Amino acid sequence: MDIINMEPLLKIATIETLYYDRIYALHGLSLEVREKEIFTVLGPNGAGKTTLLKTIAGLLKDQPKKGTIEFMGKRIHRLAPERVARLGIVYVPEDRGLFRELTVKENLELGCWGRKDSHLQEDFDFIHELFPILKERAGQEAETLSGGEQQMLAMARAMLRRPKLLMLDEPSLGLAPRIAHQVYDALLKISRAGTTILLVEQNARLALGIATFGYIMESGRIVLEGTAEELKENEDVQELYLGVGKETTSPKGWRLYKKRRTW
Amino acid sequence: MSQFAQYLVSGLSTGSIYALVALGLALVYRSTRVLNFAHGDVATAGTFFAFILLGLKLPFVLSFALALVFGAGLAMAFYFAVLIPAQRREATQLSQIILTLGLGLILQGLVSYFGGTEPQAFPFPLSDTKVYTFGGVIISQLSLGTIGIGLLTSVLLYLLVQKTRIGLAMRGTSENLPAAQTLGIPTRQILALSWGLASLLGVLAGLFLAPALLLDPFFMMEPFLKGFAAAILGGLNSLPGAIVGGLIIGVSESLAGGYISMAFKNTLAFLIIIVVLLVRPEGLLGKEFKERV
Repeated sequence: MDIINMEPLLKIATIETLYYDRIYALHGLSLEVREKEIFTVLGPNGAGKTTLLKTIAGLLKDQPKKGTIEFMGKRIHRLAPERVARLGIVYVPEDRGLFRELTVKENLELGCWGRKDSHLQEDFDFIHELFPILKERAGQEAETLSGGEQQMLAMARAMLRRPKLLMLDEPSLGLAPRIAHQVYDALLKISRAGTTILLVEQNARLALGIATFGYIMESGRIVLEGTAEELKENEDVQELYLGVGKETTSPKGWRLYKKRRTW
Repeated sequence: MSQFAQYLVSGLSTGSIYALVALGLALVYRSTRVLNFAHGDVATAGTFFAFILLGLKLPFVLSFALALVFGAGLAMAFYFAVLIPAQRREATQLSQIILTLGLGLILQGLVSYFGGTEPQAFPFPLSDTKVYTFGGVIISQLSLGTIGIGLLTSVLLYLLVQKTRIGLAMRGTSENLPAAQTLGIPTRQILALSWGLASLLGVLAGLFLAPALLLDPFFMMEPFLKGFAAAILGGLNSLPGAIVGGLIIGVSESLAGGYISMAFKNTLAFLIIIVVLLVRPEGLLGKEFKERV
């Protein structure tokens, strides 16, 4: 992997996001996403992962309070969500963000909003090849789909926007392991086709399986960063996120709390 | 039997007016979750606007078209100039509703000032006294036109909402605003369009109601309340529900007024509403609101 002096696609510098003006959700967080790679942010519940993505997408009004977010060299923090979206950042939220009462076809149609280029058919072919099931389900309302199919629809719809940066919030959430693997295989294909991905996950094993670089986030801060390989080797990550326990230590339950982390 | 048909027809005619009003309310409610209490007053203002233009000897078609545009513009201006800034300051649903109430009162004042409070006859191309007879049922030109415009508008609105891209965006935006935003859909313009369209329907109702009554600053008060009831009866977030609700109220009013007594004209309609809402709180065609987290 060449880590030459390439300008990152997304550059976040010491942002602070607050809820109700006093509760810090992001506490001086900085991270970068390089083009055409998969970057992942791992962390436990309540670490602020979702808040991070929402802040980037512009969905939190007047946030971040401090710090800067640059996308392709342009400052995008505190822009309206529609404007962030139009720059090519597409956000697939944890709840998939589907129009539940609209059909699969209509959901996809809304994904092409504002597109008049000639590549549309290509992109439809791409997503139908990626998720053949969506073709079968075209006339069904989105809320009648299974969890996995909903995630696939959300990803397909996102791809129709030709994202420069695709942000996904826990795509494996609530999915059976086999389906989650399918979703991740699709993500890998999407990435190979040239899309930059920022992935937020609790399932570290899945995420580090496809990511090139990862950040570990806890209580609104990045506590550790490194290539996927480095993180997989890291003792703490292994123990806390990958569940590779050492025989000598006491039962897992309280070890999580007792464990002294290196960060 | 022919008497029943007679009541039915006149009920459908008033019902069409209620349906138009209800459609406007439902359109705004389902897209922005705001109950528009200015709906009747915007319709009144639009009708007065047409009245003024007619006084300037403008042709009917032009005056009415301009009045519709005026009503739509008024609502869109309100949305952009008042509601969006209010939302930016995190106004609650209730305070937004109060804002519409305020708009209504302002318009009421302006209309009274510029239009006068004296009831005036509203000139109209269709006559209220010229009647046709179909198999024993008498129907005036105006009633026929009202039913026709109600039907036509419903069909056009259906086509717009269900068959066009703008309609698709409207449905998407009203169902899941953040999702529409993150897809880059211009949600504000879409919502403003809903407001404009809703008021256009209200003015349309006003234009067809005014010739049947006399024009004064409060002539839309009762149809507004009835339209409101109709929208709730049909399910506030359902457009077909608004039409069904409007027709039910119109017909039941006419039947009760005809068979029982004019004094009970409103009673039957509201009895129906009470019973329906007891059985189906979300309205006849409304979808139960699911709070999605």
